[in-house]
Amino acid sequence: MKGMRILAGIVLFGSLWGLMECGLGDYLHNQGIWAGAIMTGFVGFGLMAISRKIYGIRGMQLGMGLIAGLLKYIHPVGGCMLCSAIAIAFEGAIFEMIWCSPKLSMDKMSAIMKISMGVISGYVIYSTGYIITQILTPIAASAPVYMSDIAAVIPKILSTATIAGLAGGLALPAILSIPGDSASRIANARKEVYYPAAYAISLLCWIGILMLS
Amino acid sequence: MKVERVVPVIAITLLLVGTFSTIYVQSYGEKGSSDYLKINGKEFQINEIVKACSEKEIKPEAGGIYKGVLLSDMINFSGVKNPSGYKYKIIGSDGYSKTVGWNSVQNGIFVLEKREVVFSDLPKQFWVKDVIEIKVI
Repeated sequence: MKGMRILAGIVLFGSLWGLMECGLGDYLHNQGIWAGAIMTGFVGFGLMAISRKIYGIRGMQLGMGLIAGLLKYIHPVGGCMLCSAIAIAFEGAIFEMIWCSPKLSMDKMSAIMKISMGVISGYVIYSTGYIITQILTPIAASAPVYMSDIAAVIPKILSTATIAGLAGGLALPAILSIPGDSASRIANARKEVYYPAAYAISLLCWIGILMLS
Repeated sequence: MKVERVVPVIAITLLLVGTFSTIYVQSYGEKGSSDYLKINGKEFQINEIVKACSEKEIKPEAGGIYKGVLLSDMINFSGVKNPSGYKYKIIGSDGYSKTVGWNSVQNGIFVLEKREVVFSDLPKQFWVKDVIEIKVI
């Protein structure tokens, strides 16, 4: 698959993720619902799994996380922008690590494997991203980091990650039920359709984020 | 061992860890009382704190406008001598805690509605909701 086609896919899915984080994520945060866990389990992991299913390319999700994290950072509303941006940026990297094994092919999984991998992905992506942001946010803000504070928050992280795990366990089987030919039709669409559509949707996402600010 | 056997076991283990952590966090939360706040090892009534300390409105770098009781007044009210020589660990009912220095305490307020400590100079990650105790360390 051509590099430009993949790059357009990274920008498209990263922008969709960023828009969802800035809109739905902030709404859930303001409602006092487990915004981080729901967004990671359903939206972040969901979009990364969809893009892996459509393109089947490793490394794309790392780029998606960086774009979504950047968009979250420049959107000055809602929860902790810096902590969320750092966590989202790393979520892509954690996804890549979990799904790096060639034994984990999304197309050849039993129902139990789909649910289990969804649970593991949601749980690990959320909890690791949360811990990383607890360390890096104070450093980025030139504030002190206390290991005792991080240790104290771990039970809360492991508790909330259950929601992300359950969300991932629901999201992955649903995503993998998309027929393979539909996925390849998107990835291999004619360039006259693919590029304008990808860039137009990305641009709409950025405009949406600016309007939400 | 086959991947198909290991992966479900890991998933179940993670969900069990999450369940036990939830039980632990919930039991920690029960230690708090809605009318009282523990500062420097002593329990104070919230009303008592409000009467003794001054209020301030702040505009944090992280956005929004918040009004609450000055955190530095609360520390002084609790009887801490030479407050600039200590650090302050702010603990929420769910176990979430953040440790800050006196400089940040001077930029912090205690918002009564959510029992939340808000700092004007620190990221939102440092804000602690449903505060049950402020430890002097």
